[in-house]
Amino acid sequence: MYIRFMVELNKDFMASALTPLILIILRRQESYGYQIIQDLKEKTGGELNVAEGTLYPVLKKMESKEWIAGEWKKMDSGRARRYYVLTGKGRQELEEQYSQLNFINDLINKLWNLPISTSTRPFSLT
Amino acid sequence: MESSNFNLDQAILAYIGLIKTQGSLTGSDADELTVHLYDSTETLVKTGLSEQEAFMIACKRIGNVDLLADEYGKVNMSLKHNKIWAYLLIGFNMFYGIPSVVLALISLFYWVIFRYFQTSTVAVLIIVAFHILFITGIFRLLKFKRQISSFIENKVAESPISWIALSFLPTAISMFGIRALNKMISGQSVKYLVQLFESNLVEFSFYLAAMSIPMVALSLIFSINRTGEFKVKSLFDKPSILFLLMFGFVVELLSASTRMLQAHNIVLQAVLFGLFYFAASFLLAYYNRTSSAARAILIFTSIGFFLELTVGIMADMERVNRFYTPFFVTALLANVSIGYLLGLWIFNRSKPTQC
Repeated sequence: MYIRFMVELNKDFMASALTPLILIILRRQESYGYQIIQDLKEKTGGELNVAEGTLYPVLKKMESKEWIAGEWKKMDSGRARRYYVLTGKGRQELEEQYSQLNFINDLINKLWNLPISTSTRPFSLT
Repeated sequence: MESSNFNLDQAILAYIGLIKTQGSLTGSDADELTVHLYDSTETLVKTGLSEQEAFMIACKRIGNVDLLADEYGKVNMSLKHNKIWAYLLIGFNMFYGIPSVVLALISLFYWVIFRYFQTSTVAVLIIVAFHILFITGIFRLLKFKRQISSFIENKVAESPISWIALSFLPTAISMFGIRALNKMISGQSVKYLVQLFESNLVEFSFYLAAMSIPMVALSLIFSINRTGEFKVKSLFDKPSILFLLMFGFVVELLSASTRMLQAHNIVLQAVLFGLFYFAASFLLAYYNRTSSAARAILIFTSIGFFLELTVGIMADMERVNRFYTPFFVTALLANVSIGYLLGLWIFNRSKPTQC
């Protein structure tokens, strides 16, 4: 079955969904805010619609939980960027979230594929 | 189309500054958003857009000011708490330091006027005019309530430390400067300096000016839950019992201060006394409907009625054979009634006709 990626994500849903997505991106290599957003857009074929600035408070919250560590690095252009890297605690969190999300995803699929009842009166009071 | 004077650095600085004024961003957060805007704009410029167009799209993509301030506010709670402390410190200094300095300057002003004009008519006119200006000025402050609070909010968001430090200045001046000033004017109190002019009018206008301070404080306190700009209506429309009692006390003090005028005729004295009750009763009746206006007037009058009866009778007993209390109490009740009736009459005449 083909499930289309939701383009307009609810704000609260997006906030909770961003955490595992960021953890997965940082699992590969260190990155910075703008690059993380570009990666997410690229993987969704440009269909992800999120206020880019809201990524940073999420990064900050993850940093306070020590799942990621941030560091300012100066570029050749003279501009400084804050790079984030996954920590050991973050890796552990990612594994937990990954298995939880897979579990929920499987459950949703199972429930979604159940046949829809054709009865017009699902409950009878008599 | 690109505006010829568009400057990307300034535009980014202004946009980030706008988010910063909301008070939920740290310096590091602002730097991160700034770099993001530069990166985003540069990427868009590479697609063929002008710098200005690219910047506008980058701003749209980064999210609006309120949303970002909200989201940062959730993770930067300590900033919000620090801001509350900044307001507390600035508030303490404003309400302690500034009045102290103003009072000292007023004392100096009285002293200078007395020194040059003594008790002449010119001196009396200058002081009375000054008191009228003071009353007007202090009530005008209420009109600028929103502007003053926005100014403080912006300054605390921009540079809290500098503004906290600056707010200590009036307190420091009042601590060290007033000592020097007291030496100059022989440490005389404001009230003593006012009495030097030997004028009932000066003393009366002084009491009016002094009473305008608690009136403004009451107006500030009791309009705190009201939205929009400060209006007289917002103060007198559906007033709370606490406000009515405090308002009643201030009106009684204002009315009692008319005794300073020492009119030779007790009837005239009583009429002057009742004028403040007339004005207060009129305002309450005008801004409220029939039943609630009567209730409000009854509550606010009770304080003055009780004080006039008790304090007045005691004063009458001391005076022996001169009973003024009936005049003042009658003036109070009569003016309250006239104010009430006139207020309702004008209210009924001015309300729009219902279809």
